[in-house]
Amino acid sequence: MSTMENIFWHVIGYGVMPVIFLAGFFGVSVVSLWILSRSSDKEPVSSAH
Amino acid sequence: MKWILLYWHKLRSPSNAAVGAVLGLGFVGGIMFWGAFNTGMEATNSEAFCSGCHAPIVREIKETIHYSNRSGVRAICSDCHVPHAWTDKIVRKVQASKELIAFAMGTISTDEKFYARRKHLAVREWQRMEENDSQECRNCHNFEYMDFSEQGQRSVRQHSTALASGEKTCIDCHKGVAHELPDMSNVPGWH
Repeated sequence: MSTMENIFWHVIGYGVMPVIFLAGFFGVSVVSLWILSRSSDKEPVSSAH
Repeated sequence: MKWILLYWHKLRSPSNAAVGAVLGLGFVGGIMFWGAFNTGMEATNSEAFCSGCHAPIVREIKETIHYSNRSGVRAICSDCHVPHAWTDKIVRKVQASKELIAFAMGTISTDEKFYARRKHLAVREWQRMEENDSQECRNCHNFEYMDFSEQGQRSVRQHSTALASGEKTCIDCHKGVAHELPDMSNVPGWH
């Protein structure tokens, strides 16, 4: 593997890590919001302050 | 767009649920996500997954000491070909996305194609291991604990000099320890 290719994959690889964490946050938040909307947070969005 | 705004509004609004319930959802959800992510990644480290493309080479390992030996300790593909540290593993997995293109194009889809490309694949792997000082060998084989009295004369000579000084690394000599060697013409140190 050339040095350029090595740098390219390391930049992409390390760049993917925060994307993984953010995707995890997004996924967990969507599921959590859905669960809350089925129980505690039942009021319509328009009534929220 | 509507869904994005609704999602953003929900994130910014206080919940009617107890703080413990909200934190618990995040905590449990985080564990589940992390577990699922790493389980999925480990699935791509399994021998069955590797065999999907590299079947001929996975068959070969069954004849070597890395598959069957007196102590029953064995290595699978990922033990030697995928870095163990999490960050290095992610980089390697991302790099492997390029190999999906090769899979889609059928670059090594038959035994004939695989053997024709074998040297190219082997040279890349040897180079990778030379660059990381044979890290995947050293995950199991620790120079500090080698008992030279248990080794052959040639091994002792090489390990106590070239390996000890860092002049050479494991893969410089130990090519083909788990697979048959490709055509070794023009490979430095081999003739």
